Amino acid sequence: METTKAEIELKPAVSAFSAAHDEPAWLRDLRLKMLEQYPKLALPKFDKISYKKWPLTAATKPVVQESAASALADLSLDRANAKNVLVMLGQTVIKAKLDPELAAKGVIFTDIFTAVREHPELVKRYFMTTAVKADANRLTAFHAAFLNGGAFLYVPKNVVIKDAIQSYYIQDSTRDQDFVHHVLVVADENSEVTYSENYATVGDKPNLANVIAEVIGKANSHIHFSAVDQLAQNTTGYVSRQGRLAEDARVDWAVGAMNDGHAIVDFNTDLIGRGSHAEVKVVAVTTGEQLQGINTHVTNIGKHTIGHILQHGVILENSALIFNGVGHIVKGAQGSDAQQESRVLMLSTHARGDANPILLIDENDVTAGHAASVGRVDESQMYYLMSRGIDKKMAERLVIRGFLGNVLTEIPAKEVRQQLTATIERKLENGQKSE
Amino acid sequence: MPMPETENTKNNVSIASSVDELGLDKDYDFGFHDDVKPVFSTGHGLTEDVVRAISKEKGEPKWMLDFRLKAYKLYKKMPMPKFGPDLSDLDLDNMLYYQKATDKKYRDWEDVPDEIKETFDRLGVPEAERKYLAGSSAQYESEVVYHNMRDEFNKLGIIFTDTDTALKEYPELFRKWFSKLVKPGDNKFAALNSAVWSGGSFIYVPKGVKTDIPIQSYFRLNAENSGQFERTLIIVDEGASIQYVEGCTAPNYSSDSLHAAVVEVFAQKDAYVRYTTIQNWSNNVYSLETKRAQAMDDATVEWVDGNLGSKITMKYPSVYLDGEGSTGTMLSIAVAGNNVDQDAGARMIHNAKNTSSSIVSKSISKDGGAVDYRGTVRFGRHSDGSKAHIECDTIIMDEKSSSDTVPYNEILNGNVSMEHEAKVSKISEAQLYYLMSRGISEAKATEMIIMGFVEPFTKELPMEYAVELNRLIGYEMEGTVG
Repeated sequence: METTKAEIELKPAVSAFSAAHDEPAWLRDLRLKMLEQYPKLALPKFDKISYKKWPLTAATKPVVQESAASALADLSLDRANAKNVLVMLGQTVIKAKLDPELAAKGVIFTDIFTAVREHPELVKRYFMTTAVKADANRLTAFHAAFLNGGAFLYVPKNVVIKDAIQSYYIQDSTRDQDFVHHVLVVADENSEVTYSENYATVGDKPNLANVIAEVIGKANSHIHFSAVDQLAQNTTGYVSRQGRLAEDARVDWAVGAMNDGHAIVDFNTDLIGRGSHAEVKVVAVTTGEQLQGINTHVTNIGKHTIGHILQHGVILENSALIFNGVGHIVKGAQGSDAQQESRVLMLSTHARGDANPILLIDENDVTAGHAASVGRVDESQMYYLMSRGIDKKMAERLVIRGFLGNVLTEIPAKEVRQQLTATIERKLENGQKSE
Repeated sequence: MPMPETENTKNNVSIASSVDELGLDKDYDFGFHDDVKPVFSTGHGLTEDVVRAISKEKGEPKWMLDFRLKAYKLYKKMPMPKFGPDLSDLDLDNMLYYQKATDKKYRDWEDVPDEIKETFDRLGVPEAERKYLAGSSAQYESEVVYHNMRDEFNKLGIIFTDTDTALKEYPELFRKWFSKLVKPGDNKFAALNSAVWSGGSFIYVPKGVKTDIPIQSYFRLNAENSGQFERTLIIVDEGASIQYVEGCTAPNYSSDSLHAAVVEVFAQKDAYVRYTTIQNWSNNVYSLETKRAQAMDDATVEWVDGNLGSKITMKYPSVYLDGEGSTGTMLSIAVAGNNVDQDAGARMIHNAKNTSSSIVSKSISKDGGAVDYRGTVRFGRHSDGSKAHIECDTIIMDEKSSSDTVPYNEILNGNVSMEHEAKVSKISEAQLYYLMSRGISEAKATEMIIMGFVEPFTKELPMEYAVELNRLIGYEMEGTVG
């Protein structure tokens, strides 16, 4: 197998990469073990999403590389002036800021390598052990082996953070380099935090991105997690966000899947503790020739847990968007609720859209439901707008913005919201040009 | 960019093409038969000799034998379905393929299990009918009815016969339509059916002929009546209209562990066809069926499908909406009790402009049963102006039971609309409370709620079936409370 050859060739480079970051033995050993295992593990399966031929596991030799901040000139990062912010370009930390008051309370927000050095026990305890295991599948194992960037956020017990924690992770595709990025969020008991992340790409080299975020909510914590993904057209991406909640914990996911290239977006939340609650809101716009496969899975394990999924998508040009929503209530999860809604707007006759709302129910004292629809832009709304002198394309964009609005309003930081709106506008305008 | 496809479709295409290369259609020497061992010594399992023997016994033309052999090769190569219930207990090598096809002896009434007999009693099924249903008699009292009905159909030019006879008596008509919708390579069990099919109904309704009397396979008499591998072919010509009813509500006892039927329905321009099935297999039966219909311009195909009993059912009747303005509907109920896995659903494939489809599925699981809805609605590239509506409701009666809802909706056209809704819950406590507060017992109240839940289905059935089904569901619901 070619990948096995790659393993032998890449072993010294992975060891050297680990040493350069002064990593503890456990992380180096994990990398080497996963380097050996990943070619043998199966790719994760997602209904109706076929991506076997995507170059998601063709590793580029890992080397420590600095990226010049000047490459970010195009991306106006002046918005990154918040109190708590982390900006990374490729492997390089461009900016890292944490409100000293929060630091004094024990909040940790730093890049992943610094975290591994300064808080080894804390990171070791959660890193790919709880929300997702390193050897879960080929892509997670690849991730552990070639990890080359990321962040760690820890919110101690009873700490409530009012200001949003913001992050900007920019893939450096001005050169051949994999983007293997890990975000670990741990919210301890009774804490509350608002975290937002933004992914984008500079440069147009065809690289892979393998992004995993792990979110661990301890008892009675509340995490607001928002993300805007805008990986570039030449990036093939695997973006995974995995949550695991203890008793009465809650996570609110709000995600804009606005990538321009092929992407698998894999969300999974396990509601372990009694009374835990997940709200997953996803908007997606696909354009060009891309395929975005979005797989959103919530598993109700504890009693009286609540899992709600809301997915809205817009499809343009020759692109394909596949929404899988899976609500799974396991035996013993009495009193639980699994609801989901997937809505797709098709703006092109050449596109493909799938909405597959799946319910797996092994318990009877529950409520579960799903709704899905696929259709065109509402004609009466169009008529209303156009009768007021708004041209057709503008009217269409306004209707779509309304359609995607319910996720937009969930995004806490105004700047991120504005930016997502601008991204949607850009994608729609590009898409409309070819119609 | 290539569209995602399932592993099964890929495998099947590649297997089908490799079998074509075997050149089975060429140079087959009929004389080979001389070497075949005596019919009854073929024993368990399926071999090429068994397939040849079946064909010979039936005196079939060469093309059918070739078709069977080709299907047999496919069957050997094809994988088991990669989705749905666990079929690992199904021992395909231990089946009696040939014996079933020729065995004309009937089971001794004494061998019929007591629980089946008891159910007959409870449902008030007449004596002769019981024997028929239990496979202990091929005779059925409605012989007269059947003959009268057949005369009526003859006058109208409707052909209604068993499929083996049709191959002999209407060879051209038969060959024109046979296996045009369900190719042997469609799935492993369609391949198996194609190799060893026997029995089933053949119906042809000529242009413009409409009849209100439902054709009922119930009344059909034919020597190889309850075959495991029925093959039904229904052709409704332009502007014609027919209703077909198959099965019955009483438990259909069979010692066979596998039923793999193939049904093909062709609705030509402006035609109307409704296909009603109620199946209540005994709990040792795997029912793995392929049912498919094609609707041409402005034609309508309606499936009404009730699934009770069986060990495992996998059945997803489909309508290929190939003509402009055609309509397909599916109305189904499934009830899964102890040790039953009902995996059923529907497929609506919109291939032409202004087509519409509707799926209404009602499912109930109880006593540890599993009831799954699995379906596909697909809008092809040329389906402008088409619409689909899907509704799946499930009641899980107790904590031992489960239900999966797995609908796939694939849309390749921007000018269509699709609405999908599903709900899974237990029996409504509010409704129970309301009924019980008026002095109705919990058991009776539960039954009433379930009757209300399945009413959209039962009201579409012919009267005698609706009455029997209601009785049966009432009987099934007993003992689920308290």
